[in-house]
Order: sequence, then C-alpha cells, then structure tokens
Amino acid sequence: MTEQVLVKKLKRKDEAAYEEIVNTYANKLFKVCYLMLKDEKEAEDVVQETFIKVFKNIASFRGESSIYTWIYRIALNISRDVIRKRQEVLSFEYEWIGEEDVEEKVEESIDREVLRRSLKSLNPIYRECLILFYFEDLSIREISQILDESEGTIKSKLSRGRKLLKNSLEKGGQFNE
Amino acid sequence: MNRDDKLSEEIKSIYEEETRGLTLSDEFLNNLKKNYKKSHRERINEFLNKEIEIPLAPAFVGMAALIALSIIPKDILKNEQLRTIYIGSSEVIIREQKEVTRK
Repeated sequence: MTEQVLVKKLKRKDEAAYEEIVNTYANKLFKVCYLMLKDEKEAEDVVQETFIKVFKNIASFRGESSIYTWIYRIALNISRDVIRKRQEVLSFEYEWIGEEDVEEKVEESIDREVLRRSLKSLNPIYRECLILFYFEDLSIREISQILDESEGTIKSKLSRGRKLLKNSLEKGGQFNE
Repeated sequence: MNRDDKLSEEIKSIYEEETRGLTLSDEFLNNLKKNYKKSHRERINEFLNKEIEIPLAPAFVGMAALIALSIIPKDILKNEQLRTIYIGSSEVIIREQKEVTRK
C-alpha cells in the first residue's frame, strides 16, 4: 500500500490501515522513546498517546511531510513533555550560533561503558538528534522535518552532541557543558 | 556529518544493544488496535455514506422491466377460464381465477 493510499484510508477511518500503521511503527517508536526516556513504562505510554493523537488528528495531516515524519514528531513532542515534567531539563530551546560542523577525530580506543553512561546523561536536546541520526539512520533533512528545525540547527546539534560525548570520554564520563 | 567513524559506530552499537529484544507485547499491541474499533454508529454512518457504483446498462434494463410490470395488466396473457353449466333454463358460470383488470 503506498503512503498516499494509506493516508487516504486512515482519513476514512479504515481499520486495516490503522492496523498497518500500528504494526509498522509501534515497535520502532517504542525503541526511540525508550532511548529518549530510559524507562519502558513511560515509553509505552508515549507510544499509546502517540497513536491516539495520530488517529484523532489524521484529518489535519496535509501530506506536506511523510506520515512517519509526522508520527515521529508527535512521539518526540510527547517525550519532551514527559522529560519536562521530570524537570530533567528546563528548556528545549536551542540557539544555533553558526556553522559547527567541524568534526574532531576521536581516539581509536573508546571506553564503551563511559560512552554508554554519557549517552544516557547527555542533554535530551542532543540525545534526540543522535538517536534519530545514528539509531534510526535518518537524514539531516528528515530530522529537521521531524523536529521542525532548520538543517543547520540539526547539524550543529549533532556536532555539539558529539563534541560533548568526546569531552565526556576524555574526562571519564563527566560533562562540562 | 560522519556516520562511519569510530565514535559513530560505537554510538549506534550501544543504542542497538540497549534496545535489543525490546518489543511491545502482543497484548499491548492488541489493546492499541482495540482503541480504534469502530462503534455501531460509525459503522452505520460508514455504510450510509458508502459510494455505490451501479452499471448503467443493467440498471436501465431493470428499470424498464419494473415499469413494464407496473403498466401492463397482469392478466394480459392469461386466458379466462370459465365453465358454464346449463341447468334447465339457467346457466351457472364458474370462474376458476379471479379476474384482475386495471381500472
């Protein structure tokens, strides 16, 4: 079923189309939300809320982006709300101050445990970009559509996130933002 | 943006490791799908709003047949079955079928 047909059927409240979209995206979203939230129960709740919103608001989907971009955007916005409620981070606002796409070489030996810890405690602003880029293999363009930010901002966030991880690795897991 | 350096590979590998075997239960997925089961009202509305395609030729034939049936008297092809019995100077007419004619 092509995406256009799928969206058309979803708008007609077709149950088979709904099942298809759940089967295609539920587990993918669950993993992304788990990586964002580090909590299975919360990730499940986000997935559930995402699908409720998808089917409540499908009529307003204008097809300017792909359906998966739209679904991911909903899921990440809900995840951000969960993080805000935890007061883990106060703001998701990010100001792009310029081209920061210069990659520094990372040493050949990486302490995986330190990196694992660093990834978990990395600011969610950078975490979401890294997850979408490295785990979901999405392009900069797709990420910019999902997060509704410019491609430059996404590149900058990825670069900054990597730099923070690199610094953290050098300091044995300590961030110095 | 790099995807093939050591750090990128490690990031990807850690994310994959952390989500390996992480799947939603069938029960959860079924509940998710149940959320979308239509109500009877929605089903009725859907049925009423369904687009129906009627092929033109059979529709005309059917319509013509209906009109013909309503215009032509039903007994046009039937022979009136009468029996006359003469008893003396009287005659008794027995009709086997009720006569139906258009007014």
